[in-house]
Parts: sequence; C-alpha cells; structure tokens
Amino acid sequence: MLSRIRSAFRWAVDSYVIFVVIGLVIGLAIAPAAIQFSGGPDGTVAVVVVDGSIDGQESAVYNSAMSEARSDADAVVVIANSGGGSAAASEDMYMQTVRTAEEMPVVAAVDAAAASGAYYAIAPADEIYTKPSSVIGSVGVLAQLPPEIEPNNLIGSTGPQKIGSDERAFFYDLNTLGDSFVGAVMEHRGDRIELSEDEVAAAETYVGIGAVDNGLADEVGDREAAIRDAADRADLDRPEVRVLRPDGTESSFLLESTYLASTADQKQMESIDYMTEERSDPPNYLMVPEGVVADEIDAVSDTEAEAVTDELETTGEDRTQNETATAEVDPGSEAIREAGT
Amino acid sequence: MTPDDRDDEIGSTAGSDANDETPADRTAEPTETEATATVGSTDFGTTEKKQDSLKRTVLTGIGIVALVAILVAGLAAAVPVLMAPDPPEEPTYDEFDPDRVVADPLAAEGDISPDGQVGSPAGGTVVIDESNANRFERGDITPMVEAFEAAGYEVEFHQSGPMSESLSDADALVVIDPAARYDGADLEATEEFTDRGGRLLVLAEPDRFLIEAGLLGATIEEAESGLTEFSSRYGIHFDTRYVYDQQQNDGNYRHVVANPEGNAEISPTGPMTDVEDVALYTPTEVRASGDAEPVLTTSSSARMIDSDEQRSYTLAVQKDNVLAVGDSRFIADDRHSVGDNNVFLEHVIEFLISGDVSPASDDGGGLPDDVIVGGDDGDDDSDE
Repeated sequence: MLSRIRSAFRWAVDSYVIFVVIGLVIGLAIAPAAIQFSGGPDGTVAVVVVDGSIDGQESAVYNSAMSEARSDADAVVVIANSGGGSAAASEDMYMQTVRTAEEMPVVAAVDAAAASGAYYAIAPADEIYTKPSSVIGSVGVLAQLPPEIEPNNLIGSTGPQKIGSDERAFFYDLNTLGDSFVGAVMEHRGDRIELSEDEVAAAETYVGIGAVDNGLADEVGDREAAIRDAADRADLDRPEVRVLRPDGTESSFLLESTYLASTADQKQMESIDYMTEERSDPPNYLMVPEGVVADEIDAVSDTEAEAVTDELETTGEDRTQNETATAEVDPGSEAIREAGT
Repeated sequence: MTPDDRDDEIGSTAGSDANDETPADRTAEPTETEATATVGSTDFGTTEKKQDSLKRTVLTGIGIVALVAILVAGLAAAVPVLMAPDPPEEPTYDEFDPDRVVADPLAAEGDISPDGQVGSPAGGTVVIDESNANRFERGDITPMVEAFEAAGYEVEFHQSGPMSESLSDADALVVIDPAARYDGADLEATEEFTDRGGRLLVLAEPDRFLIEAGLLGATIEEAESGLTEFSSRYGIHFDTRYVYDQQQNDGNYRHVVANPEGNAEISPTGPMTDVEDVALYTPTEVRASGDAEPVLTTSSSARMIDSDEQRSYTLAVQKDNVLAVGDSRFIADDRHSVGDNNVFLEHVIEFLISGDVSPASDDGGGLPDDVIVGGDDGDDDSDE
C-alpha cells in the first residue's frame, strides 16, 4: 500500500501534476484579492454638505468634514444648499475651502441656493455647478445699525464707543467686510466673472443660468456631474464616493427654497430672529440674501413693539395707538436722521 | 553545572576572600572553608576564566539587545516622520490685506465760519420753514443756525400761518425736505420772495422707506419729498431715486462724496477752491432747466438706483436766487463737519445772506419797519 502511494507521488512529481494542483490552489486563494485590486475604487471623492443656515455649529461640522477629507480623500465635492448666515462662520468655511482646495480638487454643486455666506464658502472651488433655478450671489454683508444710547444715565463705560458705536465708523467697518467678501470672490473667480467688482459688490442674486452667464458659476449640472468632475481632476477612474455628513444632526433653514431642496433627515425652518434677537449685542454681521431682510425688519419691529408693550405694562401709562417707536434699522428718532443714513 | 562545579565556585569565592585577608588574619586558625579552598585550588584558574567569559557574554548580549531595541525603536519612530509628506503651506489671504480693504475715513473736524461781511452789517433774518411737515429737528441743524447767528443773522422758524408774513422781512428762506405739499398761497409767497431777490435754499431727499414699530406691529412707510411742484416753479427737479457711489464715498455706497463742479461760485467770496470733499447721505440727483449752474457733482463711478447708467451726477445746482441740494442730512450736527461739509456750508450761508432783497409789495403784507434791503447795501456801508 505504502509503495503504491510512493509510486503515485513519484508519478505526480514526475508529471508535474502536483505542481499544477498547488498552483491552482494558490491562484484560487489570491483570486478574490486580485479581483478586488483590479475592480475596486482607486481613490475617494468626499462629499461635504452645506445644508441650511450657517452658524458656528454648521461651520464646525463643515470644518470637521473638510479635515477628514484632506486626510482620507483625493477630491471633494461641496453640495451647497444654503442662504448663508453668520459672517464669521461663513468666513471660517471659506478658509476651510481655501485650505482644502490647495491640497486637492474641490468642486461645488448648488442645490436650491448658494447665496451670500454660502457662496462665500464655495467661492474657492475649482468649479461650481448649479441648477437652472438655483439662487447664487448676494455678495455682501448686512447688520443692524448699532443703537445710539450714549450718553445715558444708566450705564457707565470707559470710552465713548463702548456702548454706542459711531454710525459712520460702523458703516466703514461694514464696508471693510463687504470689500473683503468681494475681494475673496474676485481672488478666486476674477478670471471667470464677467461682472465688474462694483457689480459684484452690488450684492445682486442671480438664478443659476444667469450665474453661469456672468461667471459666478461655471456650468449647469447636478451633483453627479460635480462628482465626476472632481474625480477627473484627481485622476480617479473608479472613485469611491463617501458622504461626510454626521448622523442625527438637524438642519435649519432661513430660505424656504433651501428647506424644500434639502435632503437632510431632520430639517426645520427657522426665523431670522435666531440671528438677530439679541439686539443689544455688538454689531452682528450677517451674510444673508435679500429674501430674509424683510423678515429681519419684521423681527426688529416686533421686538420694538414688544418693548413698547412691556413698557406700557410696567408703567401703566395710557398711550394712544398712534404712539410708535422707531425701529433700530433706521436709527435716530429725529426725522433728519431718518432722511438719509 | 555539576555539584563539583558548585563546590569550585564556593571554593573560589572563599579563596578570593582569603586573598584579601591581611597577614594578621592569616595567623589565625584556618577555617573549614579555607581548607576546602586549598583542596580545590587545582581548578581555580579555569573556573574563573569561564566565569569571566560568561559575564562578558551576558553583558555583551544585554548590550546588543539594548542596541538593537534602540535601533528598531528609532527606526520605527523615524520611518513615519521620514515617510510623512511635508505639511502643506498655510494659505495666505491676500484678499484680506488691510491696506486694500480698510479705508481711511474722512476727517470730521472744523466749524462753519461764514464771512459775515458778505451780508448786511445790520444783520437780517433767515426763515426756516417748519410748516409743511419738514423732516428735521431743530437740534440737528444747530450748527447751521449758529453759523447764521455768527454772521449777524437771526433765524426764525415758520411754523404756521401765511408764508408771506414770515417772508416779508426775511433775507433768505430755507426749505428742508417737506413731507407735505406747499399750498398755492405759500407757493405764490415764496415765488414773490425770490422775485424780490430773496435767496432760497432747498434741501431734498429721494423717496425712501421709514420703518417704525408700534403697538399694532411694524409699519413701513414710503416717504416722499413734497417738493415736486415747489421746485418746478423754479425749473428745478429732484429725482425720486437715490444716487450711490461704490468708489468715492464716506464708508458706504449711499454716503456719496461729491466735489465742486469746476469753478462753481455761489458766494461773493469767490469760487469754492477751498472745498474738495462734500459728503452727502443718500442724496438724489438735481436737474435744472435754463441757466442753472451745477455746484456739486459726483465722480463718474456713481450710479442711480434702478438705473444702469454710471456717470457723474449733479447733486447741487444754483439757479438765480435758488440753491438746490439733493440731501438734507449733511447739515446735521453729526455730519456738518465731515470732509469739507463745513466749508461748503460756509459758502451756502454766504450765498443766502448776500442777496439783494427788495421791499415786499402791499400784497405781501407790507414792508415791515425792520426789513433788510439787500447785502449790497451792506457792502456799501462797510466801505464807508
């Protein structure tokens, strides 16, 4: 019996059959890895979402996603669906986009809107895709004028501007922020924008097709086109697309159009009150489009009305319905101040 | 190790100790250990060599282990550092260069010091209309009132009643952004006044929105100047849209900085060569027919809202006895000294007090005893 086995083994060796079998086993063992190697992704396109109004939380999420993308991805697609928000948060997101774009391709795709602060965030992108009906632009800053309550008999301060800011100085500051915003847009898209710097600074919004026409955007296309473009720019043939979006967060929207277009699991509309209700704060610079300004005025006026009502309740004085309090958006109770701030 | 080896070791240790003993110690009674060492002295040299060799081997081995471990750890630490790509350079933000984006504000300093010599030495009266819902507060125009008084002219506010009565003894009339239209009688009285040589200053505003909050909620009111018919009587027209300038301004596109037009001259003291930057706040364009002279114009980068036209706009004109400015804000206490506003206002006040006013007719309420008859008379008086 043993001799037969020896004989068979010798035959297998002599005829190389045993080697063929061993080769087959090894080949089959590594075949899955080979399949994976030849057909798997050759890189990653990270998708980062700017969804809803921009505040510190939104910019923190954006920063985290961009940081992760810079570590793990080869290209980034920013899906913008926002009407902007806080100026500081928008500037923060802009800087993150600049940082990322210096390391890898960044392509933006606009859903319902990339207006004001949201446009600021995507301005450094290599390419901006837009829907025909997207709202793009509004390159500017707004803020409520600071209250003029100095001198007063209640609050002491160490300087004349500590409580009530000088109105002219406030406008100069506002202008500085606006010029910075315009400068950033022109820095990254000046070679493509067919508008003059003054026209950009006029802060007009454009529909997507109009934005493509004047150079604020590049092409009409959806997010798939943006992903393909980003992959091409990173020389990826089979990119893995990874959406970097935290679970369980709720997106809030100032613009109804962005609310409707959002794909967020949890979303809600919010009032501009959220960004303006603390009226006694130092200048609160906002980058929001004209669509919410009327809401802001309403919010300011409502606050004034509440203040008057509270005062009435406190003092018990009988006042007529005609009594009014001038809204802070038009400072100074004197008519000549109203005439031309 | 065999039991004999162990004995050898013990013996060698004992022997070694014995070698260290002093001669005095050696005279003492030998111990059992010493005796044993004496017995094993045959293998002592070989054993010691083996032991030293073993020691060296162990020490060398420990050293090698430590060296290898350090090398491996060092390589392990160095490889990631060496393999890691250089960190990307920090972005630079030229777009935020302060030299580019931070503007130097116009200085706000100086008073309104008109040359009182151009008016009557006896002084006179300037009437400021308050009867047509004019949008100003007296406190806001204090600098201008003070300047009139410094030039020897008293200021009267016309609050109600026929305009003709107030103008009967006046040298100049100032109309600031009336919300109400002038009635026929006031229009006639004003026209009669300027026909007599009285000087008129009209300060207008574009249409704008006044936002107010009341007990019943917010209200947004569109405010218009009621000057259409008033100014048209003089062939002067104010646009209802505001002019803005994104390049030449006082910190905001609506705060337009205008300049004197050429050798514009509205005061007897001469052309406004001492005026350069006049800051007007949300101004409107002023147009005039006939032989009107432009006084203030914008830079060519200005625009008008709801218009695509970018050009120089006229914001102040003089036509005969009338000076029209498309802004009322620039005279306010917190704006009158911005740029050269105060110097321009000196020219404006000198224009107003240097008129040659004829006595009012009987229809105008008669000639009061204290009516001032023109600035030229004053000049003559001063020459005497």
